[in-house]
Amino acid sequence: MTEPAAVGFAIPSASPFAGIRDAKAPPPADRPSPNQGLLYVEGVGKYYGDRIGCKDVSFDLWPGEVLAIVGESGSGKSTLLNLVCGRMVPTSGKVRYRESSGDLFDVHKLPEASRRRLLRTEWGYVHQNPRDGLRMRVSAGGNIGERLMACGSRHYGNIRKTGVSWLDRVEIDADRIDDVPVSYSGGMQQRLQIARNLVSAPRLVFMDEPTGGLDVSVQARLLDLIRTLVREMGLSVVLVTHDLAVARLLAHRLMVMRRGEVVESGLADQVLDDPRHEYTQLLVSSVLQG
Amino acid sequence: MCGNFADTPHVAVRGLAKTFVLHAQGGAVINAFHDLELDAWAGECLALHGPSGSGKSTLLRSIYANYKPTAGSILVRHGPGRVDMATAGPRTVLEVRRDTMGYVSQFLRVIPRVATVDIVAERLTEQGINREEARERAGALLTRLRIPRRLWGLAPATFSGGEQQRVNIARGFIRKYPILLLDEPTASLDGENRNTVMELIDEAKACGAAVIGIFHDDEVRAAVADRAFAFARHREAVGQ
Repeated sequence: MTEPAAVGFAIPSASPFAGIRDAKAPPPADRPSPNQGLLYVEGVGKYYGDRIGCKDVSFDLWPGEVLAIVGESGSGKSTLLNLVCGRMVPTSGKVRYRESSGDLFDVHKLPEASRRRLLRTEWGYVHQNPRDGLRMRVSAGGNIGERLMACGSRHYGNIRKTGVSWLDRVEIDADRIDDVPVSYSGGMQQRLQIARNLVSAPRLVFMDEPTGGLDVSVQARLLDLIRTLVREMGLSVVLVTHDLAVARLLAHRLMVMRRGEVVESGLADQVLDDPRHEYTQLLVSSVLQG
Repeated sequence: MCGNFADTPHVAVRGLAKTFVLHAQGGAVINAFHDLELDAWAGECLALHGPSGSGKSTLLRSIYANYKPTAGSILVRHGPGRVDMATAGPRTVLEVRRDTMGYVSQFLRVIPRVATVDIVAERLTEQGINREEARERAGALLTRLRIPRRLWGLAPATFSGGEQQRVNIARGFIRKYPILLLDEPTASLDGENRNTVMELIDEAKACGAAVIGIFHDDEVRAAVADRAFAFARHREAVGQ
């Protein structure tokens, strides 16, 4: 296993939570043990007046686990992802994350600056549209380097070396490092977005339809890449997808959502091969056989 | 992984029932089986026998927790303890599959772009064995199953049915699983490869594995099975 992150930068000890830890010290029962989870989602709901965005969703995620949230568009899966990563504030329930120091924090009680910092360091967020996750007028190397600098890296040569090494890892030719992403194909842009997110060796990555909108052949390559990186780096992932094949390939567990509610959840292959809820059966039987 | 447990079965199925409710078909209910009981012991091969559609594969999938039984228990020896696969949560099931139970399905579910040798080696790397050694051992088993070296670097999507099945078998036998589930492992194989698979089953048994298998081929069944479990009837549709 190559480990390009080992070229002379380190995640700084300065935590996104610096300064608020004392005020929000978790109770002793929340102290970590090696088995304990990274993310706890408890009874999370979001209402827009009478309309349900998502209702009473709970799950937890352990290190190295991949959880897929599946459902049709409008089922509330993207709302849930936004709630979990703190971009949206839930109407009910809470989301707690265990920081690398071992302490648990309520994601929605973090100051905005701390949350943003978290998103640049310990977390990653891969958008469906790479334009939402990349700076399109900044070079590929700059896109990767920016994230490293957010983590405290300052040495230009090291940043560039890491950039080259990550481009290689996501199968982009090193001689494209100074090109801007607008000159890349859709698949390359998506791979660059993944490199930008993973360069800081995050612990938790959110992915919103990461293979959506790509040609099937490009999708297969990207899926294989994501699968390999997730395993090699031991990432925890919350993945939103409407594509059941993507969920089967990447996820340990699945949650099936309809109209804002989780209708079925469990072991990924069991939910897909032995679906019990009417809606899951409909989803599974609607897949075209390739 | 070789072990000797003479006192309790590796797999103990009790009062097992599996019912499918097909919502899209007006809530049709299909009883695959009910009140099913069987034991599988270390070092033996139990053959599931019965007509097509009698629930053999459904039972194997239930033991692997790919299907969720409607009632009953499936106690499986896992490390020093026992796990009920009928009720275990996803994390426990994945742990049992990683450490204790192998499953060779009828068809290889191909992972796009992953090389054949890595598909097999993955079962070792996920155990913490380094990639070089894992590839070496995967290559040795592929050689034994007559998959030529020139194919190792390719993804098996374009392989013949028999070649894919042999990759699948290599994936199941690369580890010494204490429990091994085989769903028609020799179905699309020629004579030589069939013999190799029979040897592999014998070696697994000699190493103390409990093997539960469905064998379409009478000759294979007679050669490897120590006991048979008979499925008598076809599954019943019991109406709405």
